[in-house]
Parts: sequence; structure tokens; C-alpha cells
Amino acid sequence: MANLDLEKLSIDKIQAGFSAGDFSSEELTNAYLEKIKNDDTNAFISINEQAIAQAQAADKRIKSGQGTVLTGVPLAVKDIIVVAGLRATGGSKILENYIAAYDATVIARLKEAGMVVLGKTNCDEFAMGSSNENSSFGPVLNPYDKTRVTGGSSGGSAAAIAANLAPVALGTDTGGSIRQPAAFCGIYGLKPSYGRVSRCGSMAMASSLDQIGPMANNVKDLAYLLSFMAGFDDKDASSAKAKVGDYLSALHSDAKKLTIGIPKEYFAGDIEPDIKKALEEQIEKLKKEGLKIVEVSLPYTDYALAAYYLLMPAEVSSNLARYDGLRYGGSDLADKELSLDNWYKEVRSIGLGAESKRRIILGTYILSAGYYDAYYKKAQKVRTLIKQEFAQVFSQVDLLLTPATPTTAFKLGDKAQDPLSMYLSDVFTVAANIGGISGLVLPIAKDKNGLPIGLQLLANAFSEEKLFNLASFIENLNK
Amino acid sequence: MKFSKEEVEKLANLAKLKLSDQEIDLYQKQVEDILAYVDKINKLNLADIKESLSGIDNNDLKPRSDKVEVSDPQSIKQAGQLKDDYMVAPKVFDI
Repeated sequence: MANLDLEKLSIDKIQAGFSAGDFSSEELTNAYLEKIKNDDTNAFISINEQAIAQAQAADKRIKSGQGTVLTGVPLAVKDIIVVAGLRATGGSKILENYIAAYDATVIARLKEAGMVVLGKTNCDEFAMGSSNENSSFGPVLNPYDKTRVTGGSSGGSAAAIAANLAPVALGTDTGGSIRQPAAFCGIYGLKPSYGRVSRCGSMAMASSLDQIGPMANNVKDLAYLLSFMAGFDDKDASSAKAKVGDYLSALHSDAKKLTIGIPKEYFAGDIEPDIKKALEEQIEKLKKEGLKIVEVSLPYTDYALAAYYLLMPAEVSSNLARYDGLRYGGSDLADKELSLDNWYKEVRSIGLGAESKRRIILGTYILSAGYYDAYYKKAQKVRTLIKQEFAQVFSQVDLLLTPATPTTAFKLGDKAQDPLSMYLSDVFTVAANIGGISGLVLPIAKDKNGLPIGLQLLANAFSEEKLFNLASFIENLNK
Repeated sequence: MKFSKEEVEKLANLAKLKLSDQEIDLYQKQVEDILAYVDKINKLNLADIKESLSGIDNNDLKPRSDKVEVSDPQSIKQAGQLKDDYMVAPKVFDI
């Protein structure tokens, strides 16, 4: 099995390989673990020592005819999502030795389907960053150019797929953390609608915005994963009871019936010329295929990022208060002889990174008396405007087509000293989180340096079928 | 938007963070820049707009009914120090 080809493996290919007896889940898992050992992108923080045992169990299940389409398929998991018995660091020093006590709901569901967890992927600390440079475990290097970032915060998951260290992965997306690294690493990523997937077991960053989603080498694998991940969970009060769609059938729906909106505001600002050109060419190709494409306007787009950088830090400052060095480890970071107050300060100052501290300070300010009305309340109102704007536009069109990012992967260190310019790399992705809608990024071209260019599709909340339908059409068209 | 060093120190104290002088200087400048950027929402007339707590309107968020459960010992196993199944914390008062 030495020559098992892991290049851009799809779930269909894996299952075909199992059925034909070309390889077992154990052999496949072993091949990935070997490749992870020699990884030079820093994509993983830890490896699942039980992966082989899980793969052996999957092989038995496949033999007995009781398998699902996911049985035996290896999965990489962002280290924000807990897997029972595995270290869960959240990319932070403060949780360096924390072992998760339970499975996140998505993990329980995917394990039940028979998936094999390879390990936990690197990410920005508590999912806060757009370059993966905020990880306490070092940045992840972009497999396309190791002097460049992967994007963030799900940079490890994106790199793992791009470098063929895993066929599929889980990420989390609060303002673009699945879609932006997917674009930078030339892979496929889905942010489901808010409430579509249970957040139970995902370390909370900004609870009103966070969603777990799949990342893969193709559209169909996103659909496979979401089919198993989606659905109400009584452990997450914000998870929705809305019916889970038939995502696989959606891949074959007639895309020519769809109306696509091009929001002019997304093409007006600073976008790299290669990205603009790739998008325009893609739009022309779709027009030639007979798809109906119209220009639309989302005038509040410019305010979405501002609202995001008020709502998100406010929620972060509350959510990160739980890391006190007492309940989740980190107790070795300070001297127990200190008074409790000084102890908290000491542990948190050593255990938390610069971006976390910055957002805690900002969020504490936004929520403090006198500024709450001026900032937080207003940002909640801007959220209403953005929701109304999306509702209005989705009454005219089925989907929106936009660039995923204003630039391709930038150089490591380029924006590390300037948080505001880093924040601007989320400019096309945050509105979907604020509006609670769904979004999918797929690779469509490369720039002059050979770096991937991503296209973003946005659909209304609980309309993931439309994303799969059009994304699959574009994927096939570009083949 | 002016944002003073004293304000950073006050916020750090509220948020239980100990910052070095260098960090205070840095965050003062950076937070000031970020606040200048987000201030654009003040251009909007929001007087008659309702607030939204999340992107989804129809989530029927209801509290679960209370029930007594014995907590899973696993959940506190990670605490630095345990005594009779209780976590040991540094002293709160100097007596």
C-alpha cells in the first residue's frame, strides 16, 4: 500500500477504493498519518492515537455491510472543536494541556457515521485571526507558497486538505474563518446558516456568529458532510429546527433556473486585478451558459465589517472570561500563593496571546457603561439592517456571487503588526455571519503568482441546497 | 475617538489582564484606530431600527427546564488541584 495516491481524494473515490478492495480504511488512515508526520506546513497541533483503532472498526463495519458513505473516511478537526479524550487547545497556550471530556455534537454524529478522526488542526487562538499567525503553536504555512499565510482562522484545516494530509476537515466560521482560508488554499469551504449545525462542543468565540462547517476537495464532499452534521440539537438552544435539506439531490438540480445577483458594492472597493478579472470571466462563462445574472445593490455592505468589529469583540470579552486558569487547566502558569484576583491576571496574561488581549480590551470597552448604547446597541441595529437587506435581495435573486477575498494569500508577517488591515481581509465574508445566511467558497482560478483565487456564493438562511446546486454547476463547468 | 492609557489600564483590570507598559501603549494606539474605523456606524440613522440578537429571527430560544444532575467527574478533572472533588482556588481574602 506504499503507493496509495492521496492527491485530492474525494469521498466517492475513497468508497470506490474500499469496495474494490484497493485499500482499507486502516491503510488509508496510515497513509495520511505518515504524510502528516512529514508535514512541513504545521497544519496539525495533535494526532489522534486512536485513529488506527477507529479505522479498524470502520473496516469491520464496512465488511458487515452496515457502513454509511462516510464510514472509514478520515477527517481532520479544527482544534476549536472538542473530541473526547483528545487535547483541545483552541490554538491557545492557556489550554495547552487540556483534554476534552466529551465529543462535540458534530463529532458524535460523524463518528456515528463511521468517520476516523486523524487529529486536531492548527488555528488562530480561539479562532481569532485571518492569517493563522495568532496560534500559540506557530503559523501554518500555505502549501502553495510556504512564505505566505493560509488565511485563518481555520488555516490548519485548509492547509491539511491542500497538502493532501486529509480528504475532508471541519472548520469554524465567525466572520469568514472557513471561507477565507479555503480561498487562500484553493479548496472548498462551507459556512452553514446560523443554527444549521449545532455549536455544542465548539469553543465559543462570538456566540451569535459562530458556525461549524465542512472543508473539502470538492462540492459533493461538503454536501455529504453537511447531510450528517446538520439538524437540531437540544444541547444548542440556538440550533434550528428547520428541516435538513436533500443536499445531494441539490447537486443535480437545474442550475439554469437560478437567478444570480452580483452585488456591485463587492466589486467597487480595493480588489486585486487578477481576482476581479477571474470573477468577471466566470460571470461571462455563466452568462454564456444561459444563467440569469443581474446586478443588485447591498448599500449596507460597508457597515457590516464595522458592526462585526463591535459585536464580535463584545462577545469575545464575555466568552473568554471562562479561561481563568482554574477550570480548564493553565494552573501551572502562576503561583498559587497569589491572591485570587492577581492569580487570574497572571494566568490570563501569560496564557492568552496578543490578539485575544486586544479583543478583550476592545470588547470590555464596547460593553462598558456609557459606550454600550453608542456602540453595541447600534451594532445590533446595523445587524437588523443587514438582515433586512439580505431578505430583500433574496426575494429577487436565488444567490449572490462575490469575490471571497480582496487579495490572494499574503506574505507571513505582512499584516501582523497592523490589526486593522488584517481585519479588512474579512470584508467580503463577515456580512453572511451578521445576517445569519449561508456561504460557500470554491476555487476558480490562480493569480499571476500561481496562488488560488476563491469565488464566494451566498444564499439565504437554510437555502444551502442552492449553494450546492450552483457550486456544483460551476465546478463542472470549469473542469 | 480619543482612547487614553488610563482607560486601557482600567479595562485591563476589569477584564483581569495584567499588561506591560509596552502592551498598554500598543493597545491604546491599536484600539483607537479600530474605534475610529467602526465609528462609521454613527453615520447611520438608527433611531427607529430594532436590535437583532442574531442573524436568525425564528429561533425559539427557550430555557431548558431545571433538573438535578450529578456532574460528570471528567468535567473538573482538568482543574489544577482537587480536594474531595472540589477545585482548589487561591485565597480570595487576605486574613
